[in-house]
Amino acid sequence: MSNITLQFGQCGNQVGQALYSCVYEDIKSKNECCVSNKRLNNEYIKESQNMWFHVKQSGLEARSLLIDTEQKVIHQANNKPYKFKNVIAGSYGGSANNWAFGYTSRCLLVASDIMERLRHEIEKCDFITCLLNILSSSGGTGSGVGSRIIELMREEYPSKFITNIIVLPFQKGDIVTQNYNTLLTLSKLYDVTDNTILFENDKIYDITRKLTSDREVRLSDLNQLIAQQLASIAQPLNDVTFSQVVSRVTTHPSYNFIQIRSAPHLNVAHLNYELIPNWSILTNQVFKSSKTDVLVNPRLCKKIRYIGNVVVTRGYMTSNEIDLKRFKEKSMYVSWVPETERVLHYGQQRGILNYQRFISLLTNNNSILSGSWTDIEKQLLLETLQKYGVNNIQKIAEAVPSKSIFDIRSIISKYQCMAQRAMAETCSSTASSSSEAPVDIVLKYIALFDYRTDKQINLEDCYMVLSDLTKGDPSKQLEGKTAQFFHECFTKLARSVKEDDHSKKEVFLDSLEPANLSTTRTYRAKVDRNGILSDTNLNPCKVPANLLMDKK
Amino acid sequence: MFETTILTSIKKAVEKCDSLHGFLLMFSTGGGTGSGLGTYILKLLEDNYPNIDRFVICVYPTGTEDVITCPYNMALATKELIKHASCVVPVENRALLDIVNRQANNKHSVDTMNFIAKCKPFQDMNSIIVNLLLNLTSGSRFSGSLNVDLNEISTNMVPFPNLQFLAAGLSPLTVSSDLVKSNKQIREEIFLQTLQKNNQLLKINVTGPKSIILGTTLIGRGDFNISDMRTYIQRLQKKTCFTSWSARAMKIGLCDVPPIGHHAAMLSLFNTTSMSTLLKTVNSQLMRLYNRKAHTHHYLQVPGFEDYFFEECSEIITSSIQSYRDIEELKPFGIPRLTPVGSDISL
Ligand SMILES: Nc1nc2c(ncn2[C@@H]2O[C@H](COP(=O)(O)OP(=O)(O)O)[C@@H](O)[C@H]2O)c(=O)[nH]1
Ligand SMILES: Nc1nc2c(ncn2[C@@H]2O[C@H](COP(=O)(O)OP(=O)(O)O)[C@@H](O)[C@H]2O)c(=O)[nH]1
Ligand SMILES: [Mg+2]
Repeated sequence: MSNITLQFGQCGNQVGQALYSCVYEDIKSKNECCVSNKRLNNEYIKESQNMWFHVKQSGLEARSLLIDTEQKVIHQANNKPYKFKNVIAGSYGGSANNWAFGYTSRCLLVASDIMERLRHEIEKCDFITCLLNILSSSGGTGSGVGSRIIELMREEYPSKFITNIIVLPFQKGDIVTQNYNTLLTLSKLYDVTDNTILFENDKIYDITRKLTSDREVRLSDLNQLIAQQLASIAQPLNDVTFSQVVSRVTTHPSYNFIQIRSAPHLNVAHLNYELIPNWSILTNQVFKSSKTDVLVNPRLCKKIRYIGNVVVTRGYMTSNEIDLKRFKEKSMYVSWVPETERVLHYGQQRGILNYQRFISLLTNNNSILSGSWTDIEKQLLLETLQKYGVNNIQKIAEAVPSKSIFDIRSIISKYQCMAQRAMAETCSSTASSSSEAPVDIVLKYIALFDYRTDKQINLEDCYMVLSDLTKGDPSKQLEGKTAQFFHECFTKLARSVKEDDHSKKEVFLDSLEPANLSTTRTYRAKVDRNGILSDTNLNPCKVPANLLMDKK
Repeated sequence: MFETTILTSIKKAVEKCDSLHGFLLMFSTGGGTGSGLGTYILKLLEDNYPNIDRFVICVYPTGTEDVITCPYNMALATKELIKHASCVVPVENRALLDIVNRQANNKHSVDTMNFIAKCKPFQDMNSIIVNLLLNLTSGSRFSGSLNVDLNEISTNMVPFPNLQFLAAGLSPLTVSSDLVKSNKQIREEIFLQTLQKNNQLLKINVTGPKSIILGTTLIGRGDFNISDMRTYIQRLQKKTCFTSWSARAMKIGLCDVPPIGHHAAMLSLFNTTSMSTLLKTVNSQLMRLYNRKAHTHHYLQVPGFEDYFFEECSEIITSSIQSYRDIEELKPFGIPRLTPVGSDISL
């Protein structure tokens, strides 16, 4: 039983190489249960070797095709204890991050060669479980050339089981055309392949960063994690093949995007010293991560629906040690999934790599839609914003647990931008003054010089809120009395604005100078009054002395 | 006159390549040969190799105008660039001069001083341009964990075909650094420097309040890693203004090999609306001369050159400036509003 991998593009090749070295390391690994049960271990190793490698007298040859339209990445492949014989890479200079370019033009250069080599490779196997394509959806080669080749593969081998492993790009700032490329790739592959395992770079990055707190994250660290999760699903299991495992979670052909969650994630350097928790703790860990940590809030929890789950355990286990009750709850699943299909468990008594116990969950659910914000999540965000203001991201993230800090930041800044623009628009349409009037800064500035008559009313906060309002930031909530005062003032102001003439305000506005907004300001704790007037840091608009109210 | 000769020699060079990546053209827009012939060849290339990218690195001799008809040449060349190039990285001589002067005053960089002492002034300014080129092509020459090939830059950085001018920022600008190893702070410093006015090869401020960014590429060389890049992207997005559709328009690249003498270096490219200041300068200089019709007879004597060329040229530049302004004033369509809690939620 063998898998043939096709690695497309830079990302595909880097991830693929990580997968092979992970598998190789696993074969060579000597953890406790390998020693205790020699026969089991030998069987496992033999099976695993045959699965990934073509075993020759001269050594191992990976059952793999490396495909790229440039040569730099692939050249790094061949200083390993095993060989990659099928390299299909002209130095064509990449595909310019352009799906269309890869799909139509670059593909022509390599297609016939690939199909030929693939046929050879298939003939070398006794029995094929799966054709495994590894690619990123956002580049040009992986997505474009990959899509086309996979279509051709489907035409040529209509009954073979084809699985894709797709790396989704970082949501922010990776490749400008990534959204086009990803959409085109996913929609092309949706129909032609049996299923797709998705890895989100953002999520993988988050996990990896926690593991490597003491040093910086490299792309190879991300790839290692992806490889480990993949290997934990794909390495030999008792009685089932990889394709069977995968197809168990994609019982319905329209829902074929799968994700993997796993536990434990340990820092490799600490692995030898840390105790691996027992099965029930591990089960809980993956269960939680499968719900993207929405457990805390029951309202959101309802939103997640599963189509299927498969739990894979690796490591010694007595028959009733694992408890999957939490996965069995009926309400978590789409109604048409029969009870027996909801969650399945496959085991392997041998551990993986240096882990004595490793659990992974192959899950098919609707959390892949999590990039978008549901109404409930938006509502939750609004509530928390009102409570804490925009600056306390940590608190907001705690209150909206289904989103990463990253998501929250990006949505806040998005809405800030929109609000600012709306603000600027109304400003410029009502008054002819420039849209860059430093009103918010002035207000913040006044907040520092407030004149308190009533200790119960926090004027400082009032000005801060006003300042936030003009900036278009959602602001924090005022306390009872202060809020009331604030509203009263607003009503009064509105009334007086109606009757007032504007001459007084113009005196103030005329005396302002345009502030230099591009520099950052630091406020010192204590400054004397004269110092303030001349200090452009504290008095960015150079408000004249007679217009400033004294604090005393 | 030399059209066929040039074409055959280009063809010969092209035939030697097994895969043609793009054409790099380098010239000054101030003189006659570079601006005239250079842009003519640009057009030739477009006609003969329409699918191959044409990168132009051109010098705008502002600050060192030693040719009186320079405004005409600059404007006419700019028009051709707007029409025919796929990507332009303009470099202003006054920006280069400033950088060189600053380095000469900087007592720390002994290496640089020695280097400058050996060189003539133009050569040293040119070494900055050379550095730009080296960094720009690093992705095609060396391996890296996140490769950026030359052709990817134009896909990522040119949102509309007539807005292809890119501002480049480089750091470090010294010849070598005496540091043994770069740490996180130093790398961050390098990143921040590439955004600063002083390290731009144009006299514009990309992070200023007026500049709206349409696309960014950060190419880190040497010790940079993916977590550095993630932080920088977040900082950049806080610091600068974007249009509603370009907020995520960022491309990152990592190249393993640093420039000689350094452990880390970064090149940042921006497609920004403040590029219009450069075009405005070009246009106003043109109009200043042309309103008096000074020196125009030299041009009109040339067979095939008509008077209306000047006006057409000014028109094209103005329309390009207008496209930048349109983006600056772009109104976001259909702003979703924040509504109070309790009422119907529609964000
Ligand atoms: N996880 C991971 N993602 C990568 C890696 N290399 C590139 N990527 C991602 O893949 C995308 C770029 O695609 P790439 O494979 O370089 O393009 P191609 O060579 O044209 O297919 C970007 O979104 C990167 O974030 C890698 O080694 N690991
Ligand atoms: N940065 C830089 N600018 C130059 C150099 N040589 C000439 N220039 C500028 O280019 C302009 C003259 O263009 P030039 O290339 O001599 O004219 P051409 O030979 O007719 O194309 C002058 O304004 C110079 O300031 C150089 O080596 N480096
Ligand atoms: Mg690539």
